[in-house]
Amino acid sequence: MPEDISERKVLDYQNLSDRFKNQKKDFTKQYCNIYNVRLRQMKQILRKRIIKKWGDKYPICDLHKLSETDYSKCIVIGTIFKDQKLKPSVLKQLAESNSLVPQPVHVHFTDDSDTLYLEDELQRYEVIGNLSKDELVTGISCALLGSDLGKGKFNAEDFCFAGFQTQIERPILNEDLYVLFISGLDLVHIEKTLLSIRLLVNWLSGLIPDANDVNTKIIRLIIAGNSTRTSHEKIKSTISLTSRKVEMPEVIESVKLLDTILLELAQVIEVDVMPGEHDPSNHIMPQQAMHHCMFPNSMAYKSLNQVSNPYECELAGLRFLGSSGQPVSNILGFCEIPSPLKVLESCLKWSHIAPTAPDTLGCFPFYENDPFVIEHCPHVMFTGNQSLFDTEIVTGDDGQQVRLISIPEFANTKTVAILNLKNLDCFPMSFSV
Amino acid sequence: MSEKRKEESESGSPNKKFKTVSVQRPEIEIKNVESTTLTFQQLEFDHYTGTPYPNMPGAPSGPVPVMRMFGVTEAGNSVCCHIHGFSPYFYVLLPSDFTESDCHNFRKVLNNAAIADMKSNPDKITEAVLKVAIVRGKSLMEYQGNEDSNFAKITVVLPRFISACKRLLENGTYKNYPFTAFESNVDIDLRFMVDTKVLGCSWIELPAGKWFKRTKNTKFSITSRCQIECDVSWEDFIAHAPENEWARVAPFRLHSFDIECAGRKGIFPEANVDPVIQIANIVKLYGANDVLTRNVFTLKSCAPIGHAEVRCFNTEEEMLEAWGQFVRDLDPDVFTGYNINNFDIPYLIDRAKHLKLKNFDYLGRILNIRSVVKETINQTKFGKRSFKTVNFEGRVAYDMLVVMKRDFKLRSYTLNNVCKEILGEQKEDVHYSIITDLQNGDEQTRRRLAVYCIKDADLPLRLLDHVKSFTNDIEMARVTGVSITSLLTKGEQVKVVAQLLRHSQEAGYFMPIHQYTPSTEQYEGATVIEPKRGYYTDPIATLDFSSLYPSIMIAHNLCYSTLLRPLAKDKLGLTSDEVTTTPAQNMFVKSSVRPGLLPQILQQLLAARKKAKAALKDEKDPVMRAVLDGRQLALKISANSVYGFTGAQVGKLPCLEISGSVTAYGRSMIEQTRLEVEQHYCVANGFENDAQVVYGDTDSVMVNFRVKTLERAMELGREAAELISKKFVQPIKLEFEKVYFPYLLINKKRYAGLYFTRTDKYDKMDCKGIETVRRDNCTLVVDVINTCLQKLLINRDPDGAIAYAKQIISDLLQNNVDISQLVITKELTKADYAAKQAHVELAKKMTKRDPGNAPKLGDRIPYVITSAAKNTPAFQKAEDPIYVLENNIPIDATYYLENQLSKPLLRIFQPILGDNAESILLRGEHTRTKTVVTSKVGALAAFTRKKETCMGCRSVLPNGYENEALCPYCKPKESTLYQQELNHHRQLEDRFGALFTECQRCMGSLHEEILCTSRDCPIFYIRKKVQMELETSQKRMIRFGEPLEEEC
Repeated sequence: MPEDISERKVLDYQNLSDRFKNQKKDFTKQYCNIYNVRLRQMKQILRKRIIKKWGDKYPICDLHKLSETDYSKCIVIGTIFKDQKLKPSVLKQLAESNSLVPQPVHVHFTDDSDTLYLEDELQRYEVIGNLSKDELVTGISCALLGSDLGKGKFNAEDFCFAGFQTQIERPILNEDLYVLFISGLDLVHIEKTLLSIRLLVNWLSGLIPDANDVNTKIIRLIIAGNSTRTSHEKIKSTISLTSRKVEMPEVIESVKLLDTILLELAQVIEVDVMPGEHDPSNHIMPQQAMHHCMFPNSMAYKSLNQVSNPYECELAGLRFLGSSGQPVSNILGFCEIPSPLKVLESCLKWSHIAPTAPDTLGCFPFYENDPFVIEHCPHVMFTGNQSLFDTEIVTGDDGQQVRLISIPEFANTKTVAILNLKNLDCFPMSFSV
Repeated sequence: MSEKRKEESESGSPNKKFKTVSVQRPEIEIKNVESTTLTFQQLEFDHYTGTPYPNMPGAPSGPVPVMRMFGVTEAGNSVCCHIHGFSPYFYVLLPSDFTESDCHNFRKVLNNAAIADMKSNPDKITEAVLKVAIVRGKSLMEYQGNEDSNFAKITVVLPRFISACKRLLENGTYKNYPFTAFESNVDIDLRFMVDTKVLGCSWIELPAGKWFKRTKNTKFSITSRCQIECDVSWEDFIAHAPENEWARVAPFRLHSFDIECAGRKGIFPEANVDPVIQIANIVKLYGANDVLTRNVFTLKSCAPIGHAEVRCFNTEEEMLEAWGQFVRDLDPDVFTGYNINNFDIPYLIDRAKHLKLKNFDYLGRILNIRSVVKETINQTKFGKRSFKTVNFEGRVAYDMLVVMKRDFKLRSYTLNNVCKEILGEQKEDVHYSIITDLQNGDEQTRRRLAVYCIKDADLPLRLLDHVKSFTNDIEMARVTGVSITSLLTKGEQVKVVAQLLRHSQEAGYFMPIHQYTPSTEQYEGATVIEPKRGYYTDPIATLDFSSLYPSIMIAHNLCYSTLLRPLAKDKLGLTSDEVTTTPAQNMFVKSSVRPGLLPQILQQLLAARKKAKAALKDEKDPVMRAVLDGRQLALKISANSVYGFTGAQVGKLPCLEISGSVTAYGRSMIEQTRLEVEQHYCVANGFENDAQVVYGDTDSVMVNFRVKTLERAMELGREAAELISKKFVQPIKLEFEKVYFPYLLINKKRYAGLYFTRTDKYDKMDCKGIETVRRDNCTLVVDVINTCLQKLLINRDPDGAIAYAKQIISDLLQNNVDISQLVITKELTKADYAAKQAHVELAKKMTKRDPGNAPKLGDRIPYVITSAAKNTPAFQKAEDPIYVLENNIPIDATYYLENQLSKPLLRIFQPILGDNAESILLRGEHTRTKTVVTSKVGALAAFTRKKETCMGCRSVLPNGYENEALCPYCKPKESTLYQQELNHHRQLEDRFGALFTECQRCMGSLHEEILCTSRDCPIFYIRKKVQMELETSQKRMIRFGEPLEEEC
């Protein structure tokens, strides 16, 4: 049905995710590099923010030079490390695999004993004072204003993050055009969603009329991960860490099914497919676009884009940045930030989309630059695979306006998120049968 | 001195100004010496030869022994106290015709002989024997009636005359009579402590007016670095028993340190070549939570460290001298660290000597005494060992390595392993070849090293706190009355000797000197009731004799002083009622005739323990709780060590009649218990079933009442303990303590069970004699045995345990077991072993491969056994695990199965599977599949050329397809095959992430590179392996082609 595509508007599109895929993957490198490049990149941003916030009243001091200076008050810059006793640990796992006494399973890893540290290239200081550990996680770069208490402790009176970056001007569109976000199709359990998916596909292709013609005005579909499944199959770890596990046949079937569905969708609309935590891509961040060999049918269409996770693109002059949900879920597990939207907002403040990588979220040992640093403030920031739909517009210090979207898992909510490019309005739409 | 101190701290930091913290002790607050009572807790104790102090007892002129105590006051001031007037003495048994009037002449003859006996007499001593007095008493050995005999107490001027006089008297100097000496082998320090009732670490009170403080102006000048130095007569001070307020512990200064040397590759650092580059110090007051100071002395500049003070020096000479001064300023009471006795301290001193430093080695508390290294060879039960000792007058060298070896049985005593086992955490380990590189880098790399060095100084203190060894040793010193130093340097014996002496003196006994005569006499050890092996799923109740050996000695009045020789019985006219004949056919008089000394000591110890435990219950203060707990533990150990003392044939006073009788009683009691249980608890007496004793060992009996519930087994156990206790002499008592449910009885002294003391929940899994700590096992064995036992005991799932064992064997044969689990570690101790040993051969191989990184003596060599041609001896098959990983060398799975796994596995499964165990476990279906790995090195590797194969069917890829992942035949299955590969790759990625972040956390830094090469760490090899496998996996993934991203 090629006519369908021609009916829809085609807008300027640019995939800006090169930094997530073009770096060399060298596993002989260690994780210290990513922290070092992150801190180097962030320091430049932070120095500007410091002047803005505190002026030049206080000297900026390297952490490792604190002990040889006697500033009554100064500014230090570094990476947050949050020491958490509940943090999952391979060593603990190994020790526990020897005892059959069931260990409590944690999904939330905060504890009263959690301690904050600030660390730069050389030095680590325990941070006490006015810094709320509930709202922070490991890996955030920040500046602290305070004083050295000796014996490795720093008393922080105030703090400063990188803040929202500069935003390109939002173009004015004069018609309602929409982007549809969906995540968590969970095709392994197709029985749960089959009818809803059919309904969605039919609606998108115009077979089902829409009162406001929204369906025909949707110009792009972004699938934000976990198309094949949404939860990990529990495999008991054995003593032999290296035995190969055979991929389950139902997963292979679901990938075939995804190919078929994508084929249908690509015939009517531009589709961006991001891999998610449980999709057949590499597992650590950033996830690379899913391999074409698994999509022999749909890949024939130019309208199908297999893209990376995280994913950044520009559509009709609007910047989109988002992930399939791992960075957000991971942050939620290690602090008391209440909602995915608040996490997204915090990420904008921290100017980083995945601070907990690599500490608690797997990632490549990058050494040239940290691709997760936010260099340009997006207009739309989204995260996939959350339990509920939610949305909000936040405003940065310089008036940057960002639409935040929490995309629910489709398999559980039968809900998608729809964004109007004209006014950045965002609303859910349910396809439950 | 304070001026000098200032100079030092300024010159200490040539390049940078650092904040330095004062480490000096608090100022003393004594206004008027005459009206002040000085109290301090003494820690160290010695004596020297000095001159008499006016108006004190003892010899008025010539050289005299002066006792010297070092300690700390409640306020934390250090004290050195000279105690005057105490003279050494010993006893001889006198012939019956010797009277008071003979004393004068006896003294003269002996004195002259002693003077003449001296090789030289520079001090012009004329009075060697000061006094001879007749005292009444008895020999401690054997009962020979209650009549006292005459003994001469011979007081001499200096300790060295004791052995001379003893020898002279034995050889007939006086009237050709061969005297027998008593207590001449007691050294003056112990003698003094016994006579003045000073216990180890006791509080000493010097009453006002009785002590004299030394100042610059006094005739006796200041000789020590202590804040208060004083003199007192040995008759004028009070030693407080460690009760109530005197049970507390003074704020002793514990100084932990660690040094780093810049060694050369492959050579153990030598003090005359390799410089000391860093010394980290941590100082803590006893009982305090926070450290007093933490610093590091570095050679060449070092970037600052947040939690520690950095002191940089341009030359090693400056650094070492400054450190010496630091120690003198700090004035620590205790040095600690890890292996400081045999490495850090001797190295520093030897190095200072090599650099010809003037003041460095004044590390003790006496101004003019240098600390020197002495090598001593010590005979222990583990064979001859050479030890290095260094004198630090007034300070205790409390090496945590010595403590760990004494108190814990571990697979290995490296600091890494000890931390893992005791503190439950890994420790970063920087290889010594990297240390030199870090030193030669810049101030940042040296800072990195300093942080590491500080950690190594921190850990011993944390260990010390965690295992409470110092507290426990203080209590042991108090209970047994010996100094804390002798607890570390001397064996068990001295503790019993000290107690024996104290009690003998009070009871009027003299301790004879034991002449060591090698004997082949063996007495039968503790018996066991032959185990009825099996896997018991019924609850097995355990009846224990509490403090069995001490109770037997008390109950039957077994002592040196009650031992009766066969002939003596009739000679002394003792009736059979007055004599006990033990099951070992030895005779002892009953307590009605003479209460024994050992029973008396033991009763006191047991009573004191009861008291300490009761006090522990009420105590709230955590510091005092630790003290009391240490005390009750010390009392228990002391009570049990008395039996061992009587049985130690190379000991001070062995008496095999006692030890033999004790074990004989023990055996008969175990047997009697068995009879009583089986006779009473039977169907005939109305019980559900006939009880059966399945096993009995030294002091416990395991009873199967053949009941099904824990409640019933506990009820019967409690009842039986009470019932049978009545059949034994007081205070022997049978106690019901625990039920094993289920219980796996493998053999004598080998069993495992789930340990219940209450019915709702088990306390622990208890394993005895099952190799979980043997050093020459790889961790696979330990893990497998543990898991099997857990499945058997906790899950009660024998089938699951068998299935698990089979799975492991199958994994092993298919090369699926992680290499870190297969590593065996042995220490390279001597250069040439007569017998060829795997790790020695490997060391040679590694030296050939890379002489720079050759293992050196004292290194622990990890290895795995690799497969080789048939009949290659095992010692040739050892290989470096890293080399194995890098070159993909196949593991000899059969070796691990047959030499490591099979025996322990068969042992635990035999009670369940019977004689079939071997065929079921080792020869079943699960052993059929084996994976063969092709090595990258080796004889054949040179001749083979790797051809790419299809990842689906493993066939060689046809022409034109060499760069593809799959052959044309498998191409349709590409998606599936790709996902299989991917799945594996994802697992590796996850593991990579988890492992490297774990190491970052352990190391305590996100921004610094992980340098750790701790081979004791379970993830070290996995980390390496994951990196290598990821690389391989990455290459395989790429053969499928890069993922495409189409752009519009």
